[in-house]
Amino acid sequence: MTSARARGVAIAGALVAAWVATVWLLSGTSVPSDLALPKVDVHAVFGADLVARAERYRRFLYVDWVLAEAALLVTLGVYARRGARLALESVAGPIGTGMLLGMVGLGLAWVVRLPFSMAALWWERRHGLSSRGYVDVLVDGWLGLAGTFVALSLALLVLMALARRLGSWWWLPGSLVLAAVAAALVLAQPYLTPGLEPVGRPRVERAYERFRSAQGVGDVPLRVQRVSGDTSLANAYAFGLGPSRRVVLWDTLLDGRFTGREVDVVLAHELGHHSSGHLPKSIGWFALFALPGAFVLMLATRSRGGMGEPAAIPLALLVVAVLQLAAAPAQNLVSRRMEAEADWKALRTTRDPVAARGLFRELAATSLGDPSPPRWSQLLFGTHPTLADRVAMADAWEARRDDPR
Amino acid sequence: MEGRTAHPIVLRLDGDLGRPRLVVAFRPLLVVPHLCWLGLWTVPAAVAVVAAWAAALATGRVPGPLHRFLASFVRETAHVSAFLHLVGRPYPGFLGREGSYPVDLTIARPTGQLRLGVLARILLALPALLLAATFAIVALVAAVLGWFAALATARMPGGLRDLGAAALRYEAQTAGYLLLLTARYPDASPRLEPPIRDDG
Repeated sequence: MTSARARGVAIAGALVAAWVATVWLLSGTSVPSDLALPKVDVHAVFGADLVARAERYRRFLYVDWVLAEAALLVTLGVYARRGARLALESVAGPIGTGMLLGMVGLGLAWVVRLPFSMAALWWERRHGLSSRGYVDVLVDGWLGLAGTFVALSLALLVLMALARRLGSWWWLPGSLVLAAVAAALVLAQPYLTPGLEPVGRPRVERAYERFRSAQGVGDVPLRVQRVSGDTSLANAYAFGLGPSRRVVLWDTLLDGRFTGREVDVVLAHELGHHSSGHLPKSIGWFALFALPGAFVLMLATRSRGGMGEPAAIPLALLVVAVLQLAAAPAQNLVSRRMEAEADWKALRTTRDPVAARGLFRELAATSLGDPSPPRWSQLLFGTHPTLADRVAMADAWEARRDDPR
Repeated sequence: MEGRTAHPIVLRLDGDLGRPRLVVAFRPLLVVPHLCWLGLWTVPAAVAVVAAWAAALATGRVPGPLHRFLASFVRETAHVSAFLHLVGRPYPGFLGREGSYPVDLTIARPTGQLRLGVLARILLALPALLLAATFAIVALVAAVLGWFAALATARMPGGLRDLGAAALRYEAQTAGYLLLLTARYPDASPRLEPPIRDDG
């Protein structure tokens, strides 16, 4: 073995070891490893009628999604073969031309998926889950493309410049730069999200302060987002990093369909994300996925001269779309573990499994969520544990209520 | 003082009216990175124009490096505007280099300027700015009509292209006047080739 090859093998070995060690570090959870979830009779808990309606509702969305993905991959496949010709339409130099090819590809992807988005919207409106107009969605989607184009152009600027400078080694610093950009976006997102208002409900605010103190979370403001004009779905989320951390409730959670105790569970769940450091961990996971992803991208685009060449960009879009699809099960697994930990923290904080069960039943009813979806759909779409598993966790917590863990 | 022949800021056009549909369809969004870039460029350009103003007041002339920097800024703006309004075909670059785009601005080298004109430049430019705003609306209307036509035929109608080009030329000359690239007032003639005037 030559010394250069030995050095390469050593670097690769060190990278793999660091990757595995980071996976192990990030996988830690406060959910007891010996926690066994009891079997839940979904028909008894959620009602047979709701389960049947939810299954019907979701089935349409699954088919819609499969068709949309197929159309997207076919379109990007054709674009990967023919898109490079568009380079003749640019005098912006290699990187600027790469940006043009990337933006046109993403624009095409948006157009191809549009009928399927509209079909999903029609289905949601038909079930009373959305009141957004078709034109609104079209215009918002079009305007949203502008932000996507800027983000894509920035990413291509960095990656193509690195590729032109470092050759086939660009993927190593490139993935780290992408992770840094992701961290900056997570930090900035709360400042860029319009329409976040104080809750203005003393009971909710008092409960929030109590849970914040119990979980040892610092100064994280609670905000409400007005979405009731567009949807009847209920949701909440935690976002931001360090000083920008926030917990946000959709106003649909506070419209009387959920009891005060159920809202308490939501508050404690979202605070659980912050107290468990899920946002920084998500950035770590992003970096872990980006590293092999960028490596595969480097290998795939070599036949087109590498990522530094504009002709490689249409192919790169296809590779990224395939990688995203392939990585979805692993990403969803990570997300489900985090959500399960936030559920566990909510149970420990509120000590109210009855309210937790009520919340999950109400979420199923208001969002037509399938309590026990098919395994494949949970693999592909399941960012949260199934509602049946969440109820089971409440049962499991109750069974070991006096256990201090 | 500048010689009173052709206007020192000239818009040059190529004859290509072909516009591939894919690049037409997303055109308003494709320039967003350029607009962000121009937004960033505006900061040093503002500093440069203040420095150019002070230098021109003191010496009666804009220093060469400042003139070149501001000329690149105006040229880049014109390239992006030409692409956005379907006056130009290809996707423009980011540096505003002369000769880098088929719809290009030729900006003459700096010459002496009357100090009084420099001192009162913003006030003097106000009528031109008003007219430039009107031209901007004209260019927008031509671009919207041309967008539909180009989507349907993959070709920009020549009349609409020329109308847009005339508007862009006036806007560029106004910017050049305001940013002290020239002491010559913008030429409001709709003709694309500015009239050659004799000092005689």
